[in-house]
Amino acid sequence: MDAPFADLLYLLLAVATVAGLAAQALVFEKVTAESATTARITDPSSTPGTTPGTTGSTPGTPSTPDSSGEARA
Amino acid sequence: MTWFTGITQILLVLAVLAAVHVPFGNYMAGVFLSTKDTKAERLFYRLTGVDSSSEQRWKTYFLSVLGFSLVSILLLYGLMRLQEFLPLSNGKPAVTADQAFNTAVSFVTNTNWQSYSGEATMGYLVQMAGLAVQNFVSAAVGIAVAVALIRGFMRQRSLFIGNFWVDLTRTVLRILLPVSVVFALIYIGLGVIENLTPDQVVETVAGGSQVTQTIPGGPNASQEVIKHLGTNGGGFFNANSAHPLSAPSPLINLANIFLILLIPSALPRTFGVMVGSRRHGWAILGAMASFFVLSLVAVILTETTLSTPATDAAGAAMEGRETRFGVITSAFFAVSTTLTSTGAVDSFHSNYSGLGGGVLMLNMMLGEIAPGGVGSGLYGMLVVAVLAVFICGLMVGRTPEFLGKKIGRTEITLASAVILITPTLVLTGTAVATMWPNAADSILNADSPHGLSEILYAFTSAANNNGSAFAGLNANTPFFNTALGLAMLIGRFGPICAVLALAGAFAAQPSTEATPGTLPTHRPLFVGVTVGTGLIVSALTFLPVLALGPINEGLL
Repeated sequence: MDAPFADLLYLLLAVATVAGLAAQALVFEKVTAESATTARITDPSSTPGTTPGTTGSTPGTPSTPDSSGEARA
Repeated sequence: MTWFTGITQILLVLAVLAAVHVPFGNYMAGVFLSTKDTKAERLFYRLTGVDSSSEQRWKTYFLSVLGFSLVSILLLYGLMRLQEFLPLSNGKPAVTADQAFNTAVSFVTNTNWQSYSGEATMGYLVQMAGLAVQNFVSAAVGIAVAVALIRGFMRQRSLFIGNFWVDLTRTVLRILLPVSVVFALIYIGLGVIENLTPDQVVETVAGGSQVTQTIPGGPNASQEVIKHLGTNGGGFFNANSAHPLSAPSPLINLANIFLILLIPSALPRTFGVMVGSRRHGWAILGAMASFFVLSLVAVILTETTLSTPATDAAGAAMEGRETRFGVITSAFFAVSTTLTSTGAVDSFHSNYSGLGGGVLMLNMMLGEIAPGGVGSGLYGMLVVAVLAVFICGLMVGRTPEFLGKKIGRTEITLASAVILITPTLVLTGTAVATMWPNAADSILNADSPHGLSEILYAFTSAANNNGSAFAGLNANTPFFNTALGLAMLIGRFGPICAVLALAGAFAAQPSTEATPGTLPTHRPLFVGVTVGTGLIVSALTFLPVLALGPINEGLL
């Protein structure tokens, strides 16, 4: 016999834990910010709208990212 | 079962794995290096609105993983809670809320810990539309994350590590489904059941009309294959892969072990091909194989040479083992299932000797990296390799580099996070459980060190997403269902978050050319250092609690 509101409680628990994990991503984003900044500064071609690396980039081939977010090949 | 038979079976499986390692690893590399989508993939992308040509930064990739998994948990939870109203349920009632939470998280995180008996609790629709689907996609998530990390090594000055939806789709459609279909047909041919027949109550041959036996049916063969191939491990039957309808012969038992090890052992080749250095693929495989051989020898020795009144009377440590499979092959299965994230069993791990059970626990505590779960084994081993490079760099005064990527403050912070999250969950969870009111009622051996081992094994298995259990623990209580569910959820996605961040950090770096001062990371010496690093990190973390549990038990 389940306790009253058991479904709601477990669903909230799942959502809250996932939200906590998403927050962990924000913390790690700060950790990686230095590397990401380096990439933008070092790569002069990384301006919005340029061609990014594709899924199958050749090893060692520099890819030129779209710093605006999602990118298209 | 003689030594000769057992060792021959082990060598046979390892020989077949060695034969397929290169072609299968190359094939998987081709899947992820290809720039073309198949017709089925294009149709799927059109239906779901995925732009397969777009790429994601690491955080977007991680949020895609997380969002997909949360939706999966909610759907699976709903299926189990509504089971009594669904077709093909064979009269089975809804799963309780705490058990549904535990099971939904368990299958979505590739753990497949089961606090229920499969044939008694789950209807066929939930098995097919819920649990089996997660067996495919949860495995694909692990492989996708590993491929994203590989791309981090491949790329330079890039903010992108791939597209999660493309990686997920390709893994399912080009790797998991084809192998599963072929092996499911083979399994059916060899006697594994595959039907939608409800349980049948029959009179036994010897017992007359008053003695009956319930023979379960079900779509088992199709799930047995992906259970092993995807290193899932959740059994259609309570007895898992010891059940005669799941593994009707020693040949199927060997095929199960082969499937468990197939993808994890081929992924280092995939890694080597993708990063353009097959030597590094061999080095990673060498480190994995070293752990595997050490563990296999240890468990076989503890289970065949330790002398107790019970083993002497039986002629071997046969308690909890199938006579069809024998002690040595059971040890091979046990080592394979705990060194990957599978968790399927063909013998009761709780019946292993104190030290043998301790080795099985240590296998999981290593992070299941030898060869590990599908994808999770490779990214776990790469993180250990990064740690080993960093330590070596400190010792010899060279700049730590791995595959042309510098291991700096950012990288070592993230690698440390990967390594620390799981032990924190294991030790904290075990400590809380030993103090929790009434939790001791779940332990079969509360008055011996084995009681602590049962709890320790449960949290080790859950946090490392393994799923096997010391069966003496009754984990179907609100406390254990909830606590182990949280351990599985955080133990899966916490490290994945750090691994993807690491992938992003590596992808953002430029590649540096190797110089005479660069530490070679593909030679046997580095393989040895990596193995030593993994062992030392795990030993320092877990030795105290292992001393209180399995080592104490082994010395009594």
